[in-house]
Amino acid sequence: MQAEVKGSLGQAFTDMYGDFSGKLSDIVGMDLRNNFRRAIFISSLNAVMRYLGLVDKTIHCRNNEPRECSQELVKCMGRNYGHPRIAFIGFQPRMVEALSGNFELRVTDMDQDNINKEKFGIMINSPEETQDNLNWCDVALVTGTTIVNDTFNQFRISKPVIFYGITIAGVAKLLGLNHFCYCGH
Amino acid sequence: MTTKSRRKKMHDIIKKEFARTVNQNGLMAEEVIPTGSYWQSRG
Repeated sequence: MQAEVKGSLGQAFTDMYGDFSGKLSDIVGMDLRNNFRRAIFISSLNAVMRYLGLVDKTIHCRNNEPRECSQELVKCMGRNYGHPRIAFIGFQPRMVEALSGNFELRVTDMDQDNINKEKFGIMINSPEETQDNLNWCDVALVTGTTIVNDTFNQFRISKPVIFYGITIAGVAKLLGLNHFCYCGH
Repeated sequence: MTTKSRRKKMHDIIKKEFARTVNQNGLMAEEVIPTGSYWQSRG
């Protein structure tokens, strides 16, 4: 979903999408009771943060950029954490492909088409395995879309957590979260 | 605290910070223009 505020764009990944319209005064007070409403709120928040110059990546990367981003992620993890065990939340194929060749990795995903399938030598677990994987890991790499699907609170833990992707760009800035997004626009 | 109340608390924190940012910059009356676009990748 994409929102525009004063010429600046913000996006949010969601499985519930559609049109909406309103003033920011309507959106800041919105009841965030489902994925559609949270996507409106988050895409608008990202657009505002972009307009104000508080974040600079609010548009999704494309083409070969996810691969380039994943190579940078491998470097970032090695530089900052050495050889950590990583709990990866939200199957992002290029990132899992790159990380699996360099680190111990466990992956969970909500998509039934991915669960219990082996990808790049890694078995994709169901969300029910998330807590066990968080207990096991040294570092968690978590999709920013957890802020839209409302599983975000599960990742407010004492271990290092890095949220990736453009969806959580604005919230990461507001809340001071670790955020990785190398090729966003 | 229940999962539901923890979620609501987090929503409230984010909404408060967003409202403060919008208000401080005089943007409350600005229109949000939707595109409703959808993409397949993650993040």
